[in-house]
Amino acid sequence: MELASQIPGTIFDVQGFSVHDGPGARSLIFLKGCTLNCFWCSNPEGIGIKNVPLYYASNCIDCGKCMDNCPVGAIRITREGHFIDRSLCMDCTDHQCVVECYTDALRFSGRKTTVDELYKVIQRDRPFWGSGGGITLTGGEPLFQIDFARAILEKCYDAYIHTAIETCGNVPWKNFEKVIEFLDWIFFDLKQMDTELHKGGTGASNEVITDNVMKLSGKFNGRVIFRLPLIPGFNDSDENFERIAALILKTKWREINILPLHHLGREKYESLGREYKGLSYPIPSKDKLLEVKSVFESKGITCYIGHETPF
Amino acid sequence: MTEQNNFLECPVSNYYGDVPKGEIQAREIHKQPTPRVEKIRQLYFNTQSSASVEFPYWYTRRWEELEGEIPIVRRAEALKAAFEHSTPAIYPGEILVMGKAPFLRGSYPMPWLSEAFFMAQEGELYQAALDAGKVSADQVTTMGQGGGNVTESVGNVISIAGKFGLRKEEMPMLLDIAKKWYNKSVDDVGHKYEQMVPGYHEKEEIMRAVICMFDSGYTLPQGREVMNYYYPLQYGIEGIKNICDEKMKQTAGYPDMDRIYFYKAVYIILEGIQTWVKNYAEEARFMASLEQDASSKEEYLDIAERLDWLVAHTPRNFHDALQLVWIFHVAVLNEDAISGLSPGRLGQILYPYWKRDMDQGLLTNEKTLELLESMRMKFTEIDCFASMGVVGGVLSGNTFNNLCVGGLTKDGNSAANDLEMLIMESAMTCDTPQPTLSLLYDEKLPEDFLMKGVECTKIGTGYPAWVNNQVAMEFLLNNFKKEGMGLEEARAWSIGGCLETSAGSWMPLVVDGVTHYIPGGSAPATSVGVHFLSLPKILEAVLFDGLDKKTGRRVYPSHGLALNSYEEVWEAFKKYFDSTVEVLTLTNNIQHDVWGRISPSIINSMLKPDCLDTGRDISRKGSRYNRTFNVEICGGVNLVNSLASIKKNVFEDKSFTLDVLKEAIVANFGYAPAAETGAYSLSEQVKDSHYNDWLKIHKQCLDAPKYGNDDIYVDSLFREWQEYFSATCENYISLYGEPLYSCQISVSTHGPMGAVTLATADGRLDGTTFADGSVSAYPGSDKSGPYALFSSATCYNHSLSQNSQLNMKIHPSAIAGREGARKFLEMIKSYLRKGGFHIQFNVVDSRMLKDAQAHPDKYRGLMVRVAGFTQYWVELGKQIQDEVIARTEYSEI
Repeated sequence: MELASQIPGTIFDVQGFSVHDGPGARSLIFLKGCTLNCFWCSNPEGIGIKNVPLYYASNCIDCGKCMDNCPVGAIRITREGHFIDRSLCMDCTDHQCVVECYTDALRFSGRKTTVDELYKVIQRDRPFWGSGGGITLTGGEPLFQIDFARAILEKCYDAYIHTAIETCGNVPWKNFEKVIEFLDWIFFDLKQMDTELHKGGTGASNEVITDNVMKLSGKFNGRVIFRLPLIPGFNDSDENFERIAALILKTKWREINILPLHHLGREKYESLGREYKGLSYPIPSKDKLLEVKSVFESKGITCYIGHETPF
Repeated sequence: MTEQNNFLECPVSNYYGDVPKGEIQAREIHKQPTPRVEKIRQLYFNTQSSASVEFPYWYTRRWEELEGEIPIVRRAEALKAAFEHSTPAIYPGEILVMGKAPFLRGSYPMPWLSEAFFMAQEGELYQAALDAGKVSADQVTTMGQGGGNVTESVGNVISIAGKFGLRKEEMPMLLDIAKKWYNKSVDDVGHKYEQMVPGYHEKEEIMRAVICMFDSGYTLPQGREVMNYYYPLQYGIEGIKNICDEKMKQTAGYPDMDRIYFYKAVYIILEGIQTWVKNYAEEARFMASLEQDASSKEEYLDIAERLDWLVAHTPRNFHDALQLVWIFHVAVLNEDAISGLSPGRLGQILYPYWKRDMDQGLLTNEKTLELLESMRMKFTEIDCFASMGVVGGVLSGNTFNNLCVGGLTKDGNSAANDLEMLIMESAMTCDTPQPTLSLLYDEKLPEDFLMKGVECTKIGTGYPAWVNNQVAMEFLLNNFKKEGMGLEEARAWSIGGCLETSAGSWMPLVVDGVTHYIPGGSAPATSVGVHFLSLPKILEAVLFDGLDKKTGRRVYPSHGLALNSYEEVWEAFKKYFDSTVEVLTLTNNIQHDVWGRISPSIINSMLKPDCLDTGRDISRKGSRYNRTFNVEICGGVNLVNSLASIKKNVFEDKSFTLDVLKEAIVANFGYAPAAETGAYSLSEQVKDSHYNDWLKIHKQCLDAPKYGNDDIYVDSLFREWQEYFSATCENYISLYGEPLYSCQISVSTHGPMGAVTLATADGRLDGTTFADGSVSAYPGSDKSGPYALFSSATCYNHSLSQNSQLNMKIHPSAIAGREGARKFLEMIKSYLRKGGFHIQFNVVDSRMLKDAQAHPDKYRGLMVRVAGFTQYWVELGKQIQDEVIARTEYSEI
């Protein structure tokens, strides 16, 4: 068995001075790979576990170096622009196209690291969190690379670092079991209580998710804050709010954080050559957000809108 | 063919975190001054910087009459005459009065320091100055075009030094006076003697190449220091005259006779100040006689009564004390060309008076706030008259009156008090540039005090700067070890100027029979000596074997090295750096000696412990601490990034040879020079047709390890540079017989010095501005977040130098609300605990700054933090505006 410190993982970012994803100032670690495929996802480059090239047309000078260096001829440059046939480069591992790009038009969607390497960054950041800070694993789905996640969380927890994850909940219960003893805090997404609608918007059913919520309520003693990404036209029905509230009331936790849809991920979708369906959904109005807040608060569930949180 | 870079295409991104979209976010907190002060502020906004010839006229006239008199007495008489003839002007609504000159933003030239720069530009004198390499700095400086700057002559107003308006009819008098000082000014006499220094020729070339920005002896010989108001507060003006009387009796006829001339000079000047104050009292009575409104009339009479009292007596209350402090602040400013004359820990100095008035119910918080806001306006109205290169290039028009809050008391407890809370509040309600605030952070300071500081930082004006009390004390104890500084005295420090850690002393102020130990400055000007060495330009000279490649002139003798290894490059750099410091130390020592003879400081000397005891002025080591000459640098981060690029690309990876790199530098990596495009940040440069030829090399230069990312490769070079810099300064001895030391503030010099420097090996382009401060990353190169930047910044011991400087730009959303404020404080504390000396913030949406550049009229009141100081956006030069916009913006994550 490999040493815990050597466990490899793929991440796509570490951001310092994160002030909205847990108490205090934190370092946010983005793990690649997700079990859902939500059409509004603001980090689409984190959905796939594989490291793929991202293409930013605005930086491209059409020098052709990427095309010359692609062993499978997946890149074409025409009058209309720059095309990557991603079906041809699925198995590519070294991505010479990115290496040869001088202008950062091509970039990697993630990078390999190890528990040790990542922990060094955490140690570096630790003095700067001040009191009340810590780490938050996000992604992607942080419990997708479960061995990596567990090793990081265990190491941090043992070092008295405050630990949090931001999960979509759609992972086997055993994944939760592996990490809950090393966790102080969980952000748990509840998106859509109707199974079919959930499947339509995220690519997967919600049964595992609701099941995990109840199991967690029995086993986990830390703080859980539910999160509802609010997508008008997808999950903003009164019925959905009622059902989410009903589920929450069955648990021992009473807090929900509404995250209104935004369109900031547009450039990322373009760089992946993917369609951004979230763009065709409107950003929720302020009135709507206040309405949702009052629905939850009328049932005794504390509701925070966006970044207006007390932590 | 050239093509305009758009924002996305730029090789650097200026954002860390989300790029803000949607509406420009305004600053979160906005407060208003009291109605009285708001009126004065509007008056200020509509006032242009104005020069007057009144003071130099009377000074020169009296000086000429006293041919043959002992120099210091002659100068005292000249100053006395000038003070006595200074026309008093009181503006409606003022409750604190007196100013440098009759104009609201008035100042005047001091031809006895240097007369050449305001002579007619086509005149022979100007040409002579040009030949000596003195005007180079003026030629590369851009002055802010807006606000109160008079950049062009209009009607009967003539623009001088690119900033000040002078009435046309006063111009002949100015030229007449200037001619009288020809060959007699500090500048001219100093120039005569500095040529005796071996290697003087090299100095001229160094100045011409703008490797060094300024001589300090005749430009701004004083400042970057902390005032000491103890003697006037404790003894009153008449009381100090009595001390001088006593001292003259004790010393007359005994050896060390300079003492009696000093005491005599102080006595004479105090008489001048008394008349000056009386004239203002008279003016107040005159204003009262014209005033119809009963309460305004009462105020004028109150002013007159107060001034009359202060002519002779010690202050009776807080208002008196504040007025007396202001009288001496202006008196010192009128004595010399000064920037960075800092009031120091004013809230602690005035606390005994304030507390008593509050306890007795004579004063309220509201009234205090009104007085403090009035004080802010007085400080903001100060203008410093100097050449365009100095005012624009170094100061950006700023006068750096740094007021400190916090720190420790003499016995080591928190020194924060409630008056300081109100001082911070007044800086929020009356958010003008002066006095700028520094918070002397110590773990012992109470949390509510620190949160007040955060609240103030969040208004976005850039103050308070957060500075580390313990690091400063470590520096001081080491720097003044030989002069006997102990732990208690180290606690008396404050910031003088924008960020100069300055030695202080505790003085026993007796109020109502109780002794209070108040802090105040007890050393002469710091930041005199070798001023602003452009490190990237020295490296350029190394690569081109001693030449200024821009002009083709030889600056240094050929080093004769093949530069076949990184070590050779580094050794050659140190050699050129050292020879620069050596020759400039010697020439500046001569200039300062001449300054001390022709234009000695009398009022400032009198105020500084222990000149009144020793009978010597500050230029003759009269003050308690004298190790104040330093070496200042600019562009350190660009130097180190360039060294890292050369080390890695040329010598380790062998991606290209040094010769190819030099070609790339000369070709500016295929971009048009900034001087042609008028844009001074890397992200807005324009490509030329050879862009593709140099693309790969430019990319490799940009991709080389960059300071600010917690990368040991480059951080270890940074540390090596820092340790070398601080050590090598000690090899040079100042006029006062003390070793020099390292000081790291760029002020605004990173603009003009960048303007004359070719592209650099780190990928920076020709003519663009250097990284600001000393530990700020080059804009856009700190890609790993604030914590990585903090780690890089603290890779060496900051107490090796007088300061370090970290400027950050934060989007208002990142620290919004109550939680945002708490997390912001944690972040600040964490950096200081890690050993950082200083951090300051621009809390602003960059898009607002771009909008302000396009529509200056909409943003008259917008202020930004530049490098150790806050200034109105519209009064900044374009080089600096571009650099502030380009700084990495830490936004919401």
